[in-house]
Amino acid sequence: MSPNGEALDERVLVDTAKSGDEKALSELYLLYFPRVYRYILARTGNTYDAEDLAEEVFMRVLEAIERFQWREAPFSAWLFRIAHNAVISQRRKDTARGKAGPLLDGIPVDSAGPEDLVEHRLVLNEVMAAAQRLPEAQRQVIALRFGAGLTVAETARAMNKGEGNVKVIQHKAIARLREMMGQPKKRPKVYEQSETA
Amino acid sequence: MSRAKRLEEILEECVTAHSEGRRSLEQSLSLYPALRSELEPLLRTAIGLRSTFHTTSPSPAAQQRGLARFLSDARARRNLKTLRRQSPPGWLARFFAPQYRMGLGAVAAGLAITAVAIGMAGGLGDGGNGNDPGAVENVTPPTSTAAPRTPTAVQNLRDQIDVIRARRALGHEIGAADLEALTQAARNLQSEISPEDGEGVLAQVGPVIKEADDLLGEIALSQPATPEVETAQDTVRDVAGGFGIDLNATDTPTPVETPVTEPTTPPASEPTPVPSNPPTDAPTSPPTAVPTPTSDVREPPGFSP
Repeated sequence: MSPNGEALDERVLVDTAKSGDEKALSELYLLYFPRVYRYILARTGNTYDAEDLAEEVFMRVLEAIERFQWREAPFSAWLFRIAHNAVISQRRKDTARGKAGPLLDGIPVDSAGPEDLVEHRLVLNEVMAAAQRLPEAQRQVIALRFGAGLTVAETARAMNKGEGNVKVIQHKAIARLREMMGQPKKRPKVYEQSETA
Repeated sequence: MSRAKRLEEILEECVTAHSEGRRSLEQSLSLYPALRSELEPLLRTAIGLRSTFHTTSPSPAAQQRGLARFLSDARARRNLKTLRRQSPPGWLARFFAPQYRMGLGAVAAGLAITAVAIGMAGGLGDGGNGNDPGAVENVTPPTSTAAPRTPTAVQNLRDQIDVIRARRALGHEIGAADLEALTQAARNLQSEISPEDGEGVLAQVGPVIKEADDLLGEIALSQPATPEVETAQDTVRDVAGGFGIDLNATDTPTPVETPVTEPTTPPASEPTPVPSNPPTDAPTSPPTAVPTPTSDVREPPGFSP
């Protein structure tokens, strides 16, 4: 489907959901929940927080969706701003309670066998650990572009920045991650498969 | 275009082409042979990042649990909206709330005095000379509780408090849906308001949080204890803690808002609400024939009792 067609579908879906239609709300949830989860995972590095916070984000969506206006931002930008606020709020709470650290045990991944799973977990751990050391803006771009799967334009709207600026931040973040993670000794299958799109 | 700038643009172009399945890594690199050495490691990292995240999913159980909660909350909100249409407006509900009953008496008195004054002045035929602004002010309903530039999250919590007060004034028991909506509104305060919003905004948070806590205290005293009430109280206290608000300090008889303080009244914090007996419905005719709390109002579908 063309991007315009997708945008139109999304518009219909969001407008129907705004009116309280349960089917549309379910679809919206199923469409965005995994993306919100990945975004939060990329920001927090904690799978439990990511699940709980993603759930909270959708409660806030429900609270605010009637006030959502298309002219202000695309839905995804609006949604991920809510997710961003939720992450910030959680971080504030964690800091106040002295709670620490990412936990990636028991992470569910869409891999076939146990070897893949272990390999994937190692890669993901490495990515998360590196991402946590990035400056805030770079971490956010990585989370929005690669976690949530937003386009550069959507990322720019979600961050209230220009597209050019987002590309610069993305470039710096990838270069920095590359430096931090180094060259993997054994290339995980997940990398090899994805290189041949 | 500078080389660095060009690289950013090209990197983005290649990442997008790969993610949309239009080009492989090798195809992208062959398009930019001069940049290959710089582009390749970046592109490999970007592609690896994307695939790492995209092979990660929330657990199906979490997703299902979240969906069930999401839809149940949506239903509760819809029911609440219906109820809100049947309830008196927020300011009126607040007016009927226990701590405002004194205000009701004052307004009744104000109305009576105004009526007498107008009656007396009527004979003179020069009404409206502006001699009784005090009486006019008394008659004005307390809509001024909505301060200017109130943040949406604060207003939402206030609205939820109003709705619950309205339901109590109509003699309804406060169910799980109301309490969840209040809990959610309190949570939203924490997520939507931050220190960057400034002192003016933060100053509005304290009173509404205290009011929510007071209301929950009243509910806890007047209804059988439920986990929802406890959760709501915990959340409100948690949010208050997040903002550095000491709710215990206000548990003393210090009134949160003192619209009318009559020195002869007993301490205002005696919640013993008698909701089925709305106070003196003489001065203001109750809005739209106060619906008798029949079962269709009390328990709309999906509402927990």
